[in-house]
Amino acid sequence: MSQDSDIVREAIKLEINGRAFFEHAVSQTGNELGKKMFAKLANDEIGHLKAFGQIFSSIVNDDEWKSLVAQEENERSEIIEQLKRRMQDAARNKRAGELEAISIGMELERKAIDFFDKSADATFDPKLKQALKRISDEEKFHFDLLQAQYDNVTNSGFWFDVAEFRMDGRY
Amino acid sequence: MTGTRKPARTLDCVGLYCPQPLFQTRESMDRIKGGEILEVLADDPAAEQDIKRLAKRTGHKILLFEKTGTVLRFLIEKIER
Repeated sequence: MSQDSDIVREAIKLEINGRAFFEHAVSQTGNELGKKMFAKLANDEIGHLKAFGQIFSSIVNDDEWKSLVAQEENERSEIIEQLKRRMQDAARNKRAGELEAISIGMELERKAIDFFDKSADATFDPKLKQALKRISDEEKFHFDLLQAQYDNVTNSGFWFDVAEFRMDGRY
Repeated sequence: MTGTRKPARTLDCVGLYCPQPLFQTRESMDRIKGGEILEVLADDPAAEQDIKRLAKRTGHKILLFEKTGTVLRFLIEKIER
């Protein structure tokens, strides 16, 4: 139970930080397709937070859940400031800053994947285990999408439309 | 079979962390010809999952994957499409 509560806290933090970073990336990316991709990723993280909320309301009560989310929302600025600085440092030009945003996004996704996979193995709650595995799979999709986008922007200089992304190596 | 085929290129990503091994693997795959083999060495545990998914997604073939201590070694054959 205590372990599951810790998982809840960390999951909230990861999703809130992920969403905040991707929202920042939307505002920093000039290309419309790039904006669209980061907006989709931010939106997906909101979906994950809601999904965790539904599951975790049975682990922690509703008030505690809301309090945890509010607390993490307040603290998110610190990590976002660090990431903003990295983007600025990398931004010798607009494209370098955008590539750094993709790279940071991949790091955040990688942390989330590692955490969700380990937590899925650690928990004894079947519903929580199932949810963690499902959300980890979605984060892996995000990671692959970001990797393919990085590859495409590096090689061709163009962004692809997130709606065209398929797992067949075209992008 | 793989023991008799020498890698056309070796990429040493030991000491690098995600997503660098992935970026460099992708870049190195572009620098070899179809049918040639890329050898990748890495010690970031995440590289195992990431490089395997990259190969699957891009259609290249992992001929060998092994761990020696903390070092991961991949032999990836470039499949021309």
